[in-house]
Amino acid sequence: MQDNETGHETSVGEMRKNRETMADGRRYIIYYTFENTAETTTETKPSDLNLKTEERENV
Amino acid sequence: MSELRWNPLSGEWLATATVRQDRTFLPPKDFCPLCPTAPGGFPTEIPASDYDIVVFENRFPSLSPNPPEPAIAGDDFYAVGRSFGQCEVVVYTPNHNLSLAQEPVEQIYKLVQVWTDRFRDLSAYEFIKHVFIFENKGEAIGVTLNHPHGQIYAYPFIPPKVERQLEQARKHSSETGRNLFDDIIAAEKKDGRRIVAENDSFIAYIPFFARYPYETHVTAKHNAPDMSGFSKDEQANLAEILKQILTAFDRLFDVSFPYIMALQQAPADGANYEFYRFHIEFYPPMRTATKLKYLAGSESGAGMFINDTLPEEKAAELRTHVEPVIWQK
Repeated sequence: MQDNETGHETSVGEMRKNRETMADGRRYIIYYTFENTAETTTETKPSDLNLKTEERENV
Repeated sequence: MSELRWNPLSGEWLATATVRQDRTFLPPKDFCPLCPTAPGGFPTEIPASDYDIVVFENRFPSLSPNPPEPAIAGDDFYAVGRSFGQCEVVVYTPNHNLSLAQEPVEQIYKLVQVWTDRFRDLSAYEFIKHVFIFENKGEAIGVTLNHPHGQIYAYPFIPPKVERQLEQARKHSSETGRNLFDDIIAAEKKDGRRIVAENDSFIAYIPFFARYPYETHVTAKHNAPDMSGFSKDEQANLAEILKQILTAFDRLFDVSFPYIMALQQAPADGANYEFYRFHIEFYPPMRTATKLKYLAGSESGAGMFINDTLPEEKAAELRTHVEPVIWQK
């Protein structure tokens, strides 16, 4: 794939996400927001599922 | 009740999901479960007064991380399995009345990033072998909620359509040493008549083998089995060409054009699928401004599609509605 990761300067800022539990207490909901900041994405880690590799991002 | 049942006649799994019989069906706008919850108003699925893009677990899932025990016992012949997987809803916008085509390209660019994030996250689960992102748009397709949204099904196996495409791509690669999708793109560019739009990263065309009159494919021009490796440039270019195609669809008959949008990606089982290629397939059911394409005897009974139109003519028609997208890059 192309290497240019920063060449496309759009008006859309960095993606951030916030994971919460829904009102029924069992399902999750993830809010995605895009702001003109350089903050990294954050998300609550799961506790009951195995991931294939440690390198992959937590769900 | 929910379970997987094996079809020995076709060699395919299917899922039963009786909970889906009770799902919300075309509610009035004031009771849309995908709108933001207004202060003092009807509590929707989204307990926030505003949002950008939201993803949540489907309330009526066909597959889930903790599926119930099957309602029926299977055996060696009629195998039954628990319906492990995940079903998510992707709400594109808080605005109930805007379709994806009507959203600014920046919002589609955000959606591409969210799709990528969901693909990466769901692919990481041990029990998930394939992540399928799609949108059913329009009552002609059978949507039960009109608020603009898509869905994600994460399967515990590779579904049959993808399996077939993988077989074809693998066979082509081993026989020719070339990527099947490179050869499809080369054939489409050599003819030229079926190409609808193109940019540095993607090409959109109604393929030589289209089954629906306006079946449009958007294919990555560089080798990418899935969207996880797309650069920011490629994500922006995907958003841009999607905006062009979706807008052209709506202009065809001056209606909010119904379609199924299927993001086709390599499985998430850890194997090497370099011979495969990320692409999007649109299946619009409209064949004219007033007529729909139905999957009738030949399509449903024999599996052979009959296209009542010529892709070359339909692509020329669609191409006249494609316009450049102006946005801040």
